[in-house]
Amino acid sequence: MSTHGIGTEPALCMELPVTTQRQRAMARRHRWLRAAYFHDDIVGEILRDSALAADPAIAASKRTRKPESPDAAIGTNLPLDVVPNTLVSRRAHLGRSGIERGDQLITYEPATEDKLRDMFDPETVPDTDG
Amino acid sequence: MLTDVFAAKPEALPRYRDAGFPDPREFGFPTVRARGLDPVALAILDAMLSRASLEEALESATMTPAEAPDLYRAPVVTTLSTRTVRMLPAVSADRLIWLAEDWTSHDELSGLGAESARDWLKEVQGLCRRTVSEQSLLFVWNCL
Repeated sequence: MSTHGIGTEPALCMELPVTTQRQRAMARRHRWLRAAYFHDDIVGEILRDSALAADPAIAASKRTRKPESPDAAIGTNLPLDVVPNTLVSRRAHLGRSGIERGDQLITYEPATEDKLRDMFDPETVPDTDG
Repeated sequence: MLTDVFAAKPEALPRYRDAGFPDPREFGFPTVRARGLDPVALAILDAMLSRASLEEALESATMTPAEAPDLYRAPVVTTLSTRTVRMLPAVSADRLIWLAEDWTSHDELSGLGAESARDWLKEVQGLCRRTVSEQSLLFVWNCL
């Protein structure tokens, strides 16, 4: 994960996504969606488990999120996004939602195919699902 | 996940694919930016707007021209259902908030405010109208 020194800042707003049963069912059927819902889980995990989560100034923004809101923000002017550590995602997030620099990205390592299968479709024999 | 809706003519797609499916707005396609509107969220909207079953809408929402879609390697482009493109512009401005309230009551839209959803719907209405006049199609750019 990138280091941001964000634990020292007050007033973190965060939005924690939740993966529904319907989405998990689709992830069993469409393998590419597993990385998407794993991503949602990771975003929640990172934001909940980080030092920021212990900050009493954290304010959840439920029902107020806009379709282009970043994953989190420190105060009102430092947006943060959680992304897999891939070239495509790091590049895609720069220049939107107020993300202007690489140190506004909190990165995590992409899940392996096996891990995604174990999470979303543990009953399936490897390499036979569609 | 970033989930931008963009309009493109079918003949433009091979060039877009060859470029590696970059940010559609930067590529020059009319685009409404958003995130978190995954295929299930868009299928719910599709089913609400049309007489399609949710199962049918889910199949439409997950259709992609990619042979081996992998979000870690490249964005995945899916189609916005032609039912949504046809039905959404017919929703009047004053009813749009009702649609947004119903839509955002689903768990898959958790955290998205109804007014923000209404604004997004209004923008996408514009794209839908444009697709008809320009013979384009609407797609969704899914990128982690």
